[in-house]
Amino acid sequence: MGHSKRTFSVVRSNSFRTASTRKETLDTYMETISSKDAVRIVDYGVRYILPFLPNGSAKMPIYYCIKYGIQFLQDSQKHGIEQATQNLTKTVVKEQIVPSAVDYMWDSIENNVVESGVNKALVNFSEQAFKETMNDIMVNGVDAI
Amino acid sequence: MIDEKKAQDNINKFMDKHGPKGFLILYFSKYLFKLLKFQLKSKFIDIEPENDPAYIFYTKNGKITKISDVDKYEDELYEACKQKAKIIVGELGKDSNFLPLFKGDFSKIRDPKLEKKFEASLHQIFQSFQEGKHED
Repeated sequence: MGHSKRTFSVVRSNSFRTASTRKETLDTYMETISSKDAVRIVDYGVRYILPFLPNGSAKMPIYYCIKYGIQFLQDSQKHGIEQATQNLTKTVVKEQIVPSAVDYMWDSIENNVVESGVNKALVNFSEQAFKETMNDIMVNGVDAI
Repeated sequence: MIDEKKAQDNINKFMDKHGPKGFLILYFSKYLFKLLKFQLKSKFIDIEPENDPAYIFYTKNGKITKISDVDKYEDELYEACKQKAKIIVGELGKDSNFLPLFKGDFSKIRDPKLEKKFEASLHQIFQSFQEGKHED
């Protein structure tokens, strides 16, 4: 049998149903990442990785990050950071409001997400992206984007 | 360490200029970047070391790249992710279901059905990349 000994364990998708398509896709992937062409690599990523992210465990955390992130930013504008943080969580240490605000927010998001028993590895991308986004906005303001 | 007054000022300025849409673009840029970088550095099972993506990430023509070159490469990857993030946010913005998110209308954001609608819409947008839409 022409079954390849190499196992492609990184991108799990329907594209890898057969050994031949798996090898073909693996070869394309290796060629793409070896090119070091950022646009080409990201094109590949959104085409072959994003579509296979599961609905619940990957997309639900994204939803909560967005929902709580926007809520916090708008509340902060209207009522200040302290009140905005209190709106998301009951336990706030006033003296540590700025360095801890992002962690407080993440705790609220995680409470919503964990109840559903989602895949922790996929939550991590949302968590890292969320914390970096909020930190960038608080530290860099207009220039964060 | 940044004080509360400065952080507040930065949030106000960010929201005045970029609004919720700016937050969404920034968040999706970082999400895509984290996801892709993880994939680019993930180890394959039973594969030659020189074909290991993590090895490829840090080398060029068999030589270890300088930190400044790695930083430049990461900046390029991030910029490419930002372009995709703008497409995702643009597509989400076309869906009237998510106007409350873009406008910060929290009475509607509390709608429990919105979560499922969001998942379905995001799935559709991600699928559209696979179908080759949004390509130059």
